[in-house]
Amino acid sequence: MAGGERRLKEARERLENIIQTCREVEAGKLDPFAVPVEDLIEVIRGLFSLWREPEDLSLDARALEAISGVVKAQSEWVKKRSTKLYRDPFLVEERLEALEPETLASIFLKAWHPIVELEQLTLFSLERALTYWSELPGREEGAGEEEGAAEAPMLAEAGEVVFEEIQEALETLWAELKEKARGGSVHYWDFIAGETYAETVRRAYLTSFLVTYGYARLEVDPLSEEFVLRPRRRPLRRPRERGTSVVIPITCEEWLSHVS
Amino acid sequence: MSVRKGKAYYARKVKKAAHLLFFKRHYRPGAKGWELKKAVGPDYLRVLKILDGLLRPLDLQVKQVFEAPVPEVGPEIAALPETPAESQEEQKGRRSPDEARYYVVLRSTLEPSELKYCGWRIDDLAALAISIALILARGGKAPRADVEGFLRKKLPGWRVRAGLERLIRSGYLGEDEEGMLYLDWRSLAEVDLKGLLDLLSKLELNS
Repeated sequence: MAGGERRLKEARERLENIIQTCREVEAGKLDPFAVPVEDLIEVIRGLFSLWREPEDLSLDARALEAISGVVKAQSEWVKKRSTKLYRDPFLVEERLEALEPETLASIFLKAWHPIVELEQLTLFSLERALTYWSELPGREEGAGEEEGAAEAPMLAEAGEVVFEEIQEALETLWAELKEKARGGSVHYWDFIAGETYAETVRRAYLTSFLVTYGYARLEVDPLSEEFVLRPRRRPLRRPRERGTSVVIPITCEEWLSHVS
Repeated sequence: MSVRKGKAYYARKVKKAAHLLFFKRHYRPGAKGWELKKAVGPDYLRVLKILDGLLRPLDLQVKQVFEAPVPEVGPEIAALPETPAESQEEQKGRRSPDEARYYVVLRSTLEPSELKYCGWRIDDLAALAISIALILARGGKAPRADVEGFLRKKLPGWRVRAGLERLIRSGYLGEDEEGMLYLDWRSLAEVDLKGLLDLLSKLELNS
């Protein structure tokens, strides 16, 4: 009798183990093809004659249901790999790591067919732009007509900061830039990095005006591929070259990496 | 019973379809199948086919793209049946052309020297190639942190974050609430995904 009980206990444990293994496959922890489905079904069939209690029959049903989950996972595995876009992830990542950006770009160009689209300015959008412009603080009728007003920084136009204060801050920063550059250039982050993050943001903000208003040039160092600032001897009032916008994120992490 | 339509009939419709496809009216360029159906008529696929033929000498083509939920790219417009009604049998089990979005894209590809006309840098293009290939290799979604980490191996750190944001803003990549990146509408419309993966694999054989 005791032997029969022990046999029953062992059989239940075997079913529990089968269920556990199948659950791991479903959770993606195990390769679905690492589980011998037919052998497991044979085991379940062999144990079936032992079950008398409803709990054991329920366990048997759970084991079969778990095996069906493995079959489903196998089917999904095959489906995913049979799609036209499937490639071995390790192979792709290895390729990407090995290739230079120039090679990657030239490969991409062979597979790239950009959309052709036309953007147009409608009377409606012109009207909206005009309304927006005329409602800006300091843009009321008559304002902004004095000479030089067009060159005033945006913040001053918005009436938040006195123009003279910004002008003074710009002149000070420009002098500092000329001193640090010593006739050459200085790395952008070396120049803007301050003792605190807030100070760094303030310097970056003012530096953007130095560049916009022709006090300095923002260039890319061809060797390090980093931005450098090159001060001009005198501000360029009418820029000869066409300006472009450059986005430089000033994140706290980046600032920490430069000051540490 | 089919009624033979004259040249003038199609010329008018082709013009209308061209206006819809070329001029950007909303956030996205191009037009949905149902929009074209409404504006051009039920035979809009035949009209698009004619337009496609007219665009061929200009190295342009009309492209059909099925978007969410399955990133499925449609066949060339020339290979499509001319009207949805004619192809109901063939369409069984497939998605309706009315659900697709239609764009005008470049038929061939750009030369590296032409990149500057579009405002792209080599680094930006490499970042796009890496992001797309990585997302495809991971089965359609990849954690943003992984993509950023991968890009940092190739590009200066300050360019990675700004570059990814630009790709997301322009519709090449999307980001879900869990911080997973996926291919967004512009990648599906512009990039020959299978071709890109094939080119990457072929290069391995040659190297």
